[in-house]
Amino acid sequence: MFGRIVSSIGEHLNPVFIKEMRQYFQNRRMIIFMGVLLLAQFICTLFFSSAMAFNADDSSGVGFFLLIIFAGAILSVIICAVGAEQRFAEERSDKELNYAMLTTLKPSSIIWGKLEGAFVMLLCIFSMLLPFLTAAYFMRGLSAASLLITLCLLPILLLYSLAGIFAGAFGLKWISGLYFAGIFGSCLFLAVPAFEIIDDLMDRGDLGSFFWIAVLIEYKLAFLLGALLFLLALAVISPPKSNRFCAAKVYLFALPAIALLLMAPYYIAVRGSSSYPPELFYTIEFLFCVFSFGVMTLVAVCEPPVNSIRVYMKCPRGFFGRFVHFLFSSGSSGTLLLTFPVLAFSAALIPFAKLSRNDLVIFCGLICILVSFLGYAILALVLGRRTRIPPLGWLFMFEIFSNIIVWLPVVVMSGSFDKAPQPVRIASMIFSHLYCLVETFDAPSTSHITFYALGSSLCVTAALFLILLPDIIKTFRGHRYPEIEVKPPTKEMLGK
Amino acid sequence: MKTEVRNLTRIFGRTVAVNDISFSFEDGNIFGFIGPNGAGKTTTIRIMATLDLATSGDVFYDGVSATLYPEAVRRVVGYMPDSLPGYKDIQVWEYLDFFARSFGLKGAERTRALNDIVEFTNLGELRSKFLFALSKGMKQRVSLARALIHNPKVLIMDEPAAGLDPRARHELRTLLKILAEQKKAIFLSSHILSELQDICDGAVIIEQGKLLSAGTLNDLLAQVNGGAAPVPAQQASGESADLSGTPAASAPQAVPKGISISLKTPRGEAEPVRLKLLEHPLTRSVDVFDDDEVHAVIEGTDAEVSGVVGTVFAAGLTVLSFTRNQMGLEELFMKITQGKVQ
Repeated sequence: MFGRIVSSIGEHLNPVFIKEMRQYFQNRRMIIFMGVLLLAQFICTLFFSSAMAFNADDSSGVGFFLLIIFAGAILSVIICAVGAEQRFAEERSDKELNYAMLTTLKPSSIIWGKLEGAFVMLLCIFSMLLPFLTAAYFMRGLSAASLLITLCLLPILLLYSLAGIFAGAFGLKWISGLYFAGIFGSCLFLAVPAFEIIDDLMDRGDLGSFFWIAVLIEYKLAFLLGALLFLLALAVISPPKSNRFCAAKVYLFALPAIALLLMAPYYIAVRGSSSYPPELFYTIEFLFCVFSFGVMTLVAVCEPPVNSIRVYMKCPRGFFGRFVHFLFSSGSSGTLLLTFPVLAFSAALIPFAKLSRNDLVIFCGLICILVSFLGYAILALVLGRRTRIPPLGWLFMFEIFSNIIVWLPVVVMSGSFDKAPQPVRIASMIFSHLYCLVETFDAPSTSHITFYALGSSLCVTAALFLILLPDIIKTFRGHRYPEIEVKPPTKEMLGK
Repeated sequence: MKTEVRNLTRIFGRTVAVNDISFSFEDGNIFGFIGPNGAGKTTTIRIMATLDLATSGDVFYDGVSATLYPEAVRRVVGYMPDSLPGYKDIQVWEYLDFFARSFGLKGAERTRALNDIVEFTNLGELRSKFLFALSKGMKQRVSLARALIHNPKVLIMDEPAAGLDPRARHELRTLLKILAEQKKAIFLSSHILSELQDICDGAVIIEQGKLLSAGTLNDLLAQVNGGAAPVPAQQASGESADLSGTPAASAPQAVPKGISISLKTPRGEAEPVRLKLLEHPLTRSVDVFDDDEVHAVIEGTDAEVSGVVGTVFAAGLTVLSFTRNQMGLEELFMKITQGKVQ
């Protein structure tokens, strides 16, 4: 009976998820890790229990609780995040992913199945912690509500797992190395403040509304970033010359609107509160726009310059539909055009987000950085189409050279930023993002320089765009439904 | 199901891996895909299996484009790559179950498909073994089972016999013959040409991405045994070479008829035989090897060849043995390819 229920549920589950679970539970390393965790927790429980018997310390439960949470988080990172990355990277290098792609599975099912697997493993690990958390509760010093702090870790760990899936999707060793460095660095960076916050919350005993709002914001951010990682992983594993970046582009373009929608309930809930002025929400929205713009510009640079017939076959025949398809389809040069409305929207938010003139300068400085980054991207695309070096290579070169070669002479020449001649400072602001950032936060003394720099960078970027424009127009002209005779697949081929 | 490769070209940077090749084949037959290393075989096979996209040209399955409808094509094509299953922590049964589920097979249909394929590939005793514990031959069988799990009509195999011991190769040959009897079209690349000759009905030979020859095996061998290298079947005209056995499509173009023969003589007596053969107007070429062996190509029918050899006997020259040379696929391959790599 039970077996029949399980098998009937199994029929509706993602095949990749089933395979992932089988692999998780048949992996020796994972079983050893789990065993060690259980043993360590058991020993710790005994140790803390006996220590409590000799020393009636009221807060012994807190220490034990933190220890368990720490161990659980480390194990989750190793098994779920690093494990997901390793397994996916191996699948790429063993070509197993290719064979899965030759079935009727969609790339989204593959990524989704892997994410489901990581999530269920995360739940399994936290379920393993439950008996020990209960023991911690009985050791005193903990309120039942404070145990819910564990929930804060879930979105971060899930995000790590998604980042692992994204990194593993490339199947490249150097990206795996970058991922390990990122995981290790962020764990080091986040662990101390995170545990300080948790400790502080424990001391308070009552979690209060602030805690819950913070948790909700954390979940929201994890959701938004996680969705982007999901779509980018999808783009990485999608078949060659398919419309692989389309979903990511739609999402990035809609990200400011999605963020606005997700922020609306907070805005309504804290309306009128002096601690949460409306400018704060506009500033957050501005930052989302900046993020969306940055990633979209990078996508524009990474995209292949030519499109395939697979993409053209989905192109509507009407002009408007064709233009929208051109904007959002992969390899169409449309991404660059999509960045303009996002940039304009970011600029439009400034009057609502600023509290003072200083804020205005800072926002303008940030817009200046965006505009000059766009300029570099356009230049990289222009050169990438005319040379053998890909646009992304050009962009990297520009960023490295402009931020080191342009900025350093200014510092060497003047001894400090303020003493450099004004035209040099304006030029440095246009060419070097780092220098622009430093100047911007030096407001209000540099406000006029920031405005000059913004105006100049707009002019330079517009001029560069005019150079690229004929190429974009030419690509758009070729972006149309191919007038070819196509035999549709038979019912058998469609699986009917 | 007719599989048609039409004007397929694949360019990687400045390298033309596959250069405008065309051929076609139909189900119920086994076709070999032959070429030196780096000839473009795997690239062609990957495009046929929808793993890669051609720079130009296309592959059609019953007229349905693999470029435009890869998802539909995958339902009727099975692909067995040259690499082996890579998962370590998964059992044979679970591995095949994953692919069966991925092809949308559900419930009893999936169980039946799994049982059938396990029985067909003789994996019954291995079903609970982990993949890492399998030998290469066993992994090849798992790989074949994976390619067949959705009962495809066309099976594309890249070097399926590479690294297998003679017994495993024999088993693979038997399985392929059974599949061909089940009306599946099998297209396989291999370097073991003697094996291909035993099982293939037709062959495609490529080098440096270009198609050198294509046709049914009998036609190809007849061309070579007739004394001349096969002429590229369609490159000049740009038409597709049909491997399905239709005489018009696979007929050699202007190949001079000729029969290759060898005559064994006592040591040092080969030269007079050579000179005698050269006197005959039907003799095209004569070569002497090791002072005691004469190879000749003679134009004409069997009877005419006998007549030419008869003149040697009539001249009183000693001939120890006389054989007609039957050139195999390997000789054919060596004769028409030059071993060039791109």
